[in-house]
Amino acid sequence: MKQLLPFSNEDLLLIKWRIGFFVLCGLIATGIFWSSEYINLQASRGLSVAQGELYSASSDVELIEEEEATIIEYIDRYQELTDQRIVNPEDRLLFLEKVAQLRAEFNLFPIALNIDEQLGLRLQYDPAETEPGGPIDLKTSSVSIALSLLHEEDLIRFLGAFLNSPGFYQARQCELSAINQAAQSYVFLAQHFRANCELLWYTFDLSPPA
Amino acid sequence: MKTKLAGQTRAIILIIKDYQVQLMLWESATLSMLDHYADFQEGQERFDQLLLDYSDYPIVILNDVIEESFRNETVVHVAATDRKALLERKLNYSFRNTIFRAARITGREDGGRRDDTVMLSAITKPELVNPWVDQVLTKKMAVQSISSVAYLAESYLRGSGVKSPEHLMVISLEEGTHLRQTYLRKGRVFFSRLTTLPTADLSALGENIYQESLQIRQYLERIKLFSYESPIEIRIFAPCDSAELAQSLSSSRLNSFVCFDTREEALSCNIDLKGSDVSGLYLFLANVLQKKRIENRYANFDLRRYFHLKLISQGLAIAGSVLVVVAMLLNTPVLSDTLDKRSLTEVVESQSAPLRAQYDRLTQGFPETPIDSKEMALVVETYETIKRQSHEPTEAIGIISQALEQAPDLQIARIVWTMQEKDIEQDTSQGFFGSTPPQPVVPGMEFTQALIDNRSSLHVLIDGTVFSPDSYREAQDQVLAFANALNEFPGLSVNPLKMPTDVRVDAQVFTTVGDEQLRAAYTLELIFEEVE
Repeated sequence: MKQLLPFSNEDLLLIKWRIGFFVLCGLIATGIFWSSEYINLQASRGLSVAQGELYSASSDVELIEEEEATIIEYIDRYQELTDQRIVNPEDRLLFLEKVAQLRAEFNLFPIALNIDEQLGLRLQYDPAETEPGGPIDLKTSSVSIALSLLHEEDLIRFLGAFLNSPGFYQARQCELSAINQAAQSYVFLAQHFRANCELLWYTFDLSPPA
Repeated sequence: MKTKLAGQTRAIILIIKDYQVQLMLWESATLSMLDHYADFQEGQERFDQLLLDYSDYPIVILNDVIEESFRNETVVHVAATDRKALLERKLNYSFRNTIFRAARITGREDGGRRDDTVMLSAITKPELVNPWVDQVLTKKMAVQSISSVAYLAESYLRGSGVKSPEHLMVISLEEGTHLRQTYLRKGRVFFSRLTTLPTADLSALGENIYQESLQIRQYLERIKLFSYESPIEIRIFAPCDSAELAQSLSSSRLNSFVCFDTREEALSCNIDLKGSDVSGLYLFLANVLQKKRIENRYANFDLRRYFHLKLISQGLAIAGSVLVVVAMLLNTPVLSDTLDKRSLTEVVESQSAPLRAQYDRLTQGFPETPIDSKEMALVVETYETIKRQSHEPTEAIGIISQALEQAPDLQIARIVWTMQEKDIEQDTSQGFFGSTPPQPVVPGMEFTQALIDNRSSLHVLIDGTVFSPDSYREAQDQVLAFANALNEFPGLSVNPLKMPTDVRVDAQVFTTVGDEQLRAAYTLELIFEEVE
C-alpha cells in the first residue's frame, strides 16, 4: 500500500506526544461541547422540573382551595341526602313498610304495588373538568301504584305524604279516573275513583362496578 | 522552536566557507559567534556537543563557497503541471552529482519560441555540506534551510525596503581578501561568484574591486545576461571607510558604485563576532533574521523532514490549543444560557416553597369529607336538577279545581298527569360542531337522562262531559270558560283536543237535534310551559 504521509513511522514517533496532545485537545474540545450541552440539558431539565413543581404547587393550592370551597358549598346538602338514605342502596322492605303505614294512616283501599328492576345511569362529570372524581351511578326504580279511591283527596294526601317522606321520589305519571261517572252522590262509601301512578325512586351508587 | 509572526526567534547558523566553518547563534535578536572549525574533522566533536546543547534550535546552513555554480538557460515554455518535472530533468542534466541544487523560472524570452529563461544553481561540491548535514540528521534535529550568501543578499535587499535597480551587483568583502560578487536582475539572483583578491591592502582595495567589477560585467555581457549599454549599480559592502573606498571607484554612466561601511550599517544590529569586523555576510544575515526566516534553497524534503515534523508538531500544539479555546468560546453562549437557566430555576424554586407551605397548611386544616368533593358536587347537583323538575299531581289538581269554578256544570271523567321528555334541540345553524352531542342513553333510562339534561315538561289531559238542557252554545261556552280559566294561570297553556261541538268550517258536524238533554264529551290538554 502506498504510504500516504511523506514521513516514516519512526519519524512520526518523534511527535507522538504532540499528536497525543492534539488528540487530547480534541477530546477536551469534544468534552467541552458534550459537557456543556449535557449541563445545559440538565439545567433545562432542572428548570422544567422546577417550573413543573411550581405549576403543580400552584395547581394543588388552587385545587385544594376549590375543593374546600366545593365542600363548604355542598357538604350540608350532601349530608341531607345521606340522612334521607338517598346515597344508600334501595331498601324495598322499608319502602313497603312506608306504603303500608301511609295506607293505614289515610285509611285507604288496598294498594297494588309493582317495583320494576332497578336501572343505572352513569353520571357524567363536566367535560372541562381535568381531574374528575370517581364513577357514580344514578339508580332508578320505577314503581307502579294502583289504588281505588273514595275521593280524589285520598290520592292527594297519599301522594303528598309519600313524595315528601325521606327518600328521593318523583311522580312520572298519574291517571285519576272516575269509576262510576253516573253516580252523582258521594254519600255512599264506595270506590268512586281509580288512580294509577308511576313513581320513580332514585338512589345514588357511589361505588358502581367499573 | 519558537517563531514570531515574521522574524526568526532563534536558530543555529552553520556558515560553510572554503577555509573555515563558522557556527553562529541567533537568539534574542542577537547574532553571535559560537565556534569555528577549520574543517569537519576538527570540529566534529565540538559540533556534536554543541548540537546537544542546542537540540531544540533549528539549523540553517549557509554556503559561502567557490563551488556554488549558477547557470542561466532556456527551456521550452510548458504548463505549470509539467514545469516541475522539466526543471528536475534540467537539474539532473546540469548538476548530476549533487543533491544541493535549485532551479527557478526567471522570465521569458522576448522573441522566437518565447522560451522560459531558467536559473539553475547548485553546491557542486556536496562533500562540503554532507558531513554537517548528516551529523545534524543523526541527532534528529531540524534542518530549516540550506542556502547561500548569494540568496541571502537577495533576501536582504528585498527586506531592506529600498527599490533595487534593474541591474544590480552586490559585492561583499569577507575576511579581507574574499570578494563575493552577486548579480541581481530586478532583485533576483542571476549569478554569483567568490573571488580571492591578490592583497588585503586597503590602499589597493578600491582598485581591485573596480577591476573585478569590470571583469564580471564583461563576463555577464558575454553570456548575454545584460547588454553592453545597460547601466548597472554596484553596491560594495566592506568593513572599511566607505568614503575612502569610494575615492578609488570612478562611477560612469554604465557603472555606478555605492559603498557601505558594514561596521556602521551593523550598528543597528546586535552582532557579536568576538572582536572581528562585521562583514557584509553577517550584516545580511542579522538583517534578514530580524525580519523573516532564512529561505531554503538547496535542501530537499528528506533533509528537512525533521523541520517539517517540528512544524507539524508546533501546528498540532497550536491547533490543539486553538481547538480548546474555540470550543470554550463557542460554548460561552451555551454556558451563559445554562447559568441563566440555573438562576431562573432558583427563582422558580423560591416561588414554589411558599406555595408548598401554603398547601401543607391547607391540607392540615382541610375538613373531613365522606367522599371526594367532585363526587359530592355531582351527586348534589344531579339531585337538585331532578328535584327542580319534580312536581306533584296535587298542584295540577288544585289548578283544575280552581278553574272548574268557572264552569260548575262540567264533569271530569279522567285526569292523566304526565311528566314527558322533550326532544333534544338541534342547533342546525352551526352545523355539526354547534350541536350538542347526544348522551348515550341506557334503555329504560331515557326519561331520567332527560331530567338530567333539563328536558322535561308536564302535560295534563282532562277528559270530561258537558251537559246542557237545550243549548249547544251554552255547552260549548262552559268548556271555553273552563279553558279560559285554566289559561289564566301563568305558564299554562290549554290545547282543546276535543270540544262538545266541532264548529270548524273545514270539518264535518254530525249530531241529532232532539228533545233530550244535550250531553257531549270534551278533551283538554294542559301544557305547563315553564316547569320551574
